Amino acid sequence: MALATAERVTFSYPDQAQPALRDVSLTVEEGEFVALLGASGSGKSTLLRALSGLVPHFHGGRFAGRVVVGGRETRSARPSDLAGTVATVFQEPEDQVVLTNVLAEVGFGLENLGIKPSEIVPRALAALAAVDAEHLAGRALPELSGGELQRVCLASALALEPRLLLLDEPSSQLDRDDAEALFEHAREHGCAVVVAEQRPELPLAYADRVVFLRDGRIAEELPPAWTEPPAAPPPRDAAGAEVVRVERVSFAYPKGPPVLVEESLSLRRGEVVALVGPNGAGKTTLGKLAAGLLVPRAGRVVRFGRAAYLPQDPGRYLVAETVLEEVALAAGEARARRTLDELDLARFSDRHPRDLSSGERERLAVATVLAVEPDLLVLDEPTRGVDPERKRELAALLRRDADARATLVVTHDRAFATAAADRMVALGSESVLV
Amino acid sequence: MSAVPAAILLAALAFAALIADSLWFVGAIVLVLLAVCLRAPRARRRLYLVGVAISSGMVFVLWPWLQNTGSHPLFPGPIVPVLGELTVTREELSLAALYALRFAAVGLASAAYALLLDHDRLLGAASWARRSALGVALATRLVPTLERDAAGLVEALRGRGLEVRGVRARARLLSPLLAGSLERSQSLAEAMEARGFGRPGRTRVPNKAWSRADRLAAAAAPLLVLVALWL
Amino acid sequence: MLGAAVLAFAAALAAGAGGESRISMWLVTLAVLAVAVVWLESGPDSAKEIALVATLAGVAAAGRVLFAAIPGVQPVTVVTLVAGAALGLRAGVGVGMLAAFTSNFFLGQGPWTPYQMLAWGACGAIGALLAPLLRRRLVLVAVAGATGLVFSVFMDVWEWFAFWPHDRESLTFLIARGLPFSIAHAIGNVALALAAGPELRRLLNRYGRRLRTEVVWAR
Repeated sequence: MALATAERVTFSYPDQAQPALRDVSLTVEEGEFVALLGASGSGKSTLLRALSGLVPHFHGGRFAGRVVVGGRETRSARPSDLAGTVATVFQEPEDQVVLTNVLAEVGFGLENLGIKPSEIVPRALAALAAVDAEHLAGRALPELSGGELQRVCLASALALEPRLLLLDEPSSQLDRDDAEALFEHAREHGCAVVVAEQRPELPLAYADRVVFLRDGRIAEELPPAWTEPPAAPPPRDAAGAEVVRVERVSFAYPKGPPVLVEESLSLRRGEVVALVGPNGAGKTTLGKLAAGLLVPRAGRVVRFGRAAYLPQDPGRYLVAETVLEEVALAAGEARARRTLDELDLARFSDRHPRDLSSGERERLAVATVLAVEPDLLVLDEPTRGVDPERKRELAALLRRDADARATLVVTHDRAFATAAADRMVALGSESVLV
Repeated sequence: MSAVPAAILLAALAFAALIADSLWFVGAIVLVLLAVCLRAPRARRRLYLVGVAISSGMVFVLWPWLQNTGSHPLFPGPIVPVLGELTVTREELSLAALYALRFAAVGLASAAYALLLDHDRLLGAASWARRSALGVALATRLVPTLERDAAGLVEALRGRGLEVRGVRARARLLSPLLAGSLERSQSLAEAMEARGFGRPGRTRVPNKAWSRADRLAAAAAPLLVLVALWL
Repeated sequence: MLGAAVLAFAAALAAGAGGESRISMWLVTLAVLAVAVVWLESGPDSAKEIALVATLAGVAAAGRVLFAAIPGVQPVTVVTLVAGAALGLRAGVGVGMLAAFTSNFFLGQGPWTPYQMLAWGACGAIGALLAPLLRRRLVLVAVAGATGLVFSVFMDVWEWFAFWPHDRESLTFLIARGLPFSIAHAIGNVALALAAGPELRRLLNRYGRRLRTEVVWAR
C-alpha cells in the first residue's frame, strides 16, 4: 500500500473564488523522493499542505476528495495527529522556530508528541547529528545564519522520525551550498520526501519522480523553460554616459569586519550589469553603496541622477493599503498607472497589496522602483523564490527599458545573470562576460 | 546553579529586603546582590548598575525633604508650600537610607535575573503556566526579528527615495509592521501545528536534577524571609 | 494555583491590617497576576491564538524599544487597546501582560514589571469592554490619550506607595515630577491612535477572522 495518496482533490481557500487545486491525484510510496514543481499560485504548496492535513484544517475552505497518509484519512485526522507520521519544513526558517535555544527547539516537537522525557534529549541530539549540526546544540537561535537555521528546522522535523517529509520551498532563502546540503540530508534520512519548489535545478537532480503543477492541475510535461538554461541575450551597444562611479570604496558594518576593501565599479546608462559572487562577498553592500543607502568609510561614490534600490524579499516591505497607492507613494499617480499597465498589474490597482500572491507581490515591488524612473536601478537578489518562466520575463523586462537608465543586478543566480546582463562583475575583480 | 532555585533565591532576597526594618540587614543583602551582579559581563551590567544607582540615589536624596518625622534636626530648612517643612533630621536620613537600599536591592535582584539567568530554562520549569511560558518565549524571540523588519521597511522606502523622518512617519510604519508580523504569526502557528502542538499528552524535557547548591538555595529562601520578618 | 492566590489575598489583608501596607501591595498584585495567568491558561490550546498574542506583544514590545529614545511614548498602550477591541478580552489582557513582561527583557526588568503587567493588561481589558465604541476614530484617540495619562499616573502612584513616605507631599511631588512624562505618554498615544489606530483595528479584524476558520466538506 502506498504511504500517502491524494485522490481527486479539489480545494478552494476561504475568500477565494478560484480553486487552488483541481481534481489532483498523487501517490507517494515509501522512501520515494518526489518533486512538485510549479510557479507561485500553481497549487504546489497547497498540495503539500493537503498531505499534512494543514489543508483544510488550519486554513479552512472548501475541500473535496480524499487524502490518506499512513493509513489515516485527513478528513478525520488533524495536522497535530499526523505530526509523528508527517513532518514539514517550511520556506522561511525564521517563521518556524519557537524557542531560543537550539536543543530545546529541536525537542519542542518531541515534547508535543509525548515522547518519554528521558528520550527527548538523545533523539534531539541524534537529529542534529544527522544534519551535521551538533555543534549548534548549545547556541541561541537569533545568532544563527539562514542556512544554519534551516538546518535546525530540518533536524526538528527529522527528530520526529517521520515516514513522510514535506519540504515547502525550503531553499528559497538559502544560497546554493546550503541548499544542496539540505537536500542531501533530506535524502540521506531515507524516508519519503516530497519537495515543492520553484527552482528546478536541485529537485531535478535529487528526485525519483517529478510532478508539474499549473493552475491547480497536474500537467503532462515540464515546460522547456524549466529544463533548459536561458539563452544569452543578443549583445548590444550600450555606451551611454556614466551614471555612477564607485571609486575604491571600503566599508565595514559597525562593530564588524571589513566587508569591502577598495572596490571600484562604473556603470553607464543603457547597460545592465550583474554583480555576482559567493555569499558574504559584499555584493549587497556594494549595491547599497552605489545606490546611496550606505556611506563608504573610504573612497567615494559619484552619482549622476537618482537611484532606486529594491531590497531582498521585497514582498515583505509593502506599506500602502492599495496597489496603486503603493506605487504612487514615490512616483506619483500618473507614472504609477503607466508602470502598472506595463507590468500587467493594472487589474489589481484597488486591491490590498498583501492580498496578492507572492509572485504578484514581487512584480509589484519591481513596479515600485521602476515607476520612480531612476537613473540607476539596483536590484538585490530579485530571483529569490522565482520560477524559471518569471525569471525570463524579468530579464526581458529589465532589458526592454534598459536604455533609460543603468541597471545593477546583485545575484548569485548565474543563469539569470547570463540572461539579463550585458556584463558580469565578480566581486574583487572586473571580468567581462559575453 | 540551575535557574529555578536561583530565581527563588533572588526573589527571596528582594522580598526580604522589602520587609526587613534593619538597615544593616538590607545593606548586607544589597552587597550580596551587587556581588552577584558583578559576575555578569562588564558591558551589559553597566547599564543596569548605573540605572539602579541613579534611582536609589534619587530616593535617598529626595526622601528627607519630603518626610516630616524625627526630632534630631541636622539641617533646619524653610517652610515651603505643598511640601511642608524642609527640615532634615537624623531619623529621616536613616529611613531614607533604608528605602534607598530597599530600592537598590529590588533593582539589583531584577538586574541579576536579567543578566544571569537562562529564561528558556526558567520558562520550561513553569509547567503550570505552559501557554504563558510559550507566549513569553515566542514574544521574546520575535522582538529582534521585528526590529529587523522595521529597519527593512525603512530601507525599502529609502530605496524608492522616500525618507522616514520624525515620529509621525515612524508611527505610520506601525501598520505595515503589524501586517507583516501578522503574516509571520500565521506561518508560525502553521509550523507549530505541523509539529504536533495541541495534542493531548505532552511531555517536557526533563530538568537537570538539583545540585547541593540548588537545594541550599531553595532552603535558604524561606529562612531569609523569616529572618527579615523578625528583624 | 487558585488556592495559593486565595492564601495570598488573605495574607495581604492580614498584612494590610497589621500596617505593613507594602507587603500587602505586593501580595495583592502577585495574587491578581497569578489569577490572570490561570485564566489565560484555561483557554483552548490554539496555536493560532498563542502565535497571534505573542506576535502582537512582540510588536508592542519592539515598538516600545523603537520609540525608547522618546520619553513617555509607549506604543504598547495603543496596540493593547486595539488588540482587546478586535480580538476580545482574553487576547487583550494577554497582549498587555505579555508586552509588559517581554519589553522589559530588553529595556530592563525591575520591580515595576508586575505593575506594568497589571496596568497594560487592564488596558487590554478596557479595549475589549469598549470595543463597539472604539470603532470611531475620535473615540479611540480620546480613550488612547486618557489611558496613557492614567497609566503614567498609576505607575507614579505605585512608586510612591512602594518606596516613598505615605504622605501627601511625596505623592504630590512624584505626580508632579512625572507630569511631563504622563503628558508625553498621553500625547504620544493620541498621535499614534490618530496616525494608525483605525488601520490597526482593521488589520486585526481581518486576522481575527482567520482565527476562526471553517471547513466545508464537499464530495
